[in-house]
Amino acid sequence: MMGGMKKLLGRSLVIALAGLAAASAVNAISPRGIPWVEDWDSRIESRAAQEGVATLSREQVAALVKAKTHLILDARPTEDFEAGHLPSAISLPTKSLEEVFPQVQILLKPDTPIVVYCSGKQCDESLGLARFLKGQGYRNVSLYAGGFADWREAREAVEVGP
Amino acid sequence: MSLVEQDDETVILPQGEAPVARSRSLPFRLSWRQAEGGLAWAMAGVFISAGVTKVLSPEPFAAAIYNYQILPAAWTNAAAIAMPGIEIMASLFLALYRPWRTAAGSVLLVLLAIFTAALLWAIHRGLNISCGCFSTSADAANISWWNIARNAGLAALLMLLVYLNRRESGRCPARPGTRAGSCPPCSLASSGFQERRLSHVRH
Repeated sequence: MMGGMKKLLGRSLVIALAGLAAASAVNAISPRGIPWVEDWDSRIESRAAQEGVATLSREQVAALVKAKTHLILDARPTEDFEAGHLPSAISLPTKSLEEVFPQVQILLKPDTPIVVYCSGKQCDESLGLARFLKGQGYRNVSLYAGGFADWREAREAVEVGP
Repeated sequence: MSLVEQDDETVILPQGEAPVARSRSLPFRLSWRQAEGGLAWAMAGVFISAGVTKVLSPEPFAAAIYNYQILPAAWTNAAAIAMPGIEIMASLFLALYRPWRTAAGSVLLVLLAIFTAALLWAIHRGLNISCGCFSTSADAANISWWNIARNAGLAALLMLLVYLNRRESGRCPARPGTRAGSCPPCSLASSGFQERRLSHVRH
């Protein structure tokens, strides 16, 4: 009985280690491979810093929303935006950027201060949008990495609808 | 003494004794061993399809794991790399290497238990996130009790497979005067090898 259990555990361990080795090899050669260790809590901030995009805390964004000095752009899908978004934010979903951007573009000047955000720390649509805007020549783009999840968690004011 | 083909094995019976009832057969002449093989391939297909999706999109899968808020943030990628690899390897053993099928099934059961515990935790906390189980797309449906029910179904099938594998592995072809399945420790001489060679012999 004990011998059988030992054998079962040994075999299970061999299978798990073989899977681990195969996964390491595939990850090492795959163009989509990811680093083994990466802090997801600060992942987007780190990437933004590497690309020269400024990041803002929730308190900073709350002050900017109140002062109405910045254009707030929401990079999430339209349905998520309509379910709830930061006050006075404008929807610019990255999935339909080509269709929607011309409508937003008329509100922008090269030095318009812009804040972009998406659903939370795990999403990178906001960083993609910041990258796109910088590529279009907009110089003053900042990123709210905490995103809507962080905003809602702090029970800040939320607007619903289009 | 007569040689009688029963299911996928040849059974040797004493002279004059009728073949024993087909206790080991399923309808449509499907043996338990064939049923076990079919189930193993089906289960392997399910887990390989889930694993390949994750291997092809490690970053979205890591995001799905991060959303559960269970692991320390720095371990997220390691889990996203390791788990699909183990899932696929165990599935391959499940389908292709029968002697280790019980071990492979046990590994998959452990993985399934981890996924289900994470799902229950997320539902308990009211997290509005996608499962990351069979699709890593951000548009995938959010977690629900359906995911728990599906995992319970998969776990039940895996347990059935492990049971069948252990049951069938414990059996050996009959010796003169015994029934297939009632298996004292069997030697190579009385294993199915010699008897299969004679399986065309009829009396």
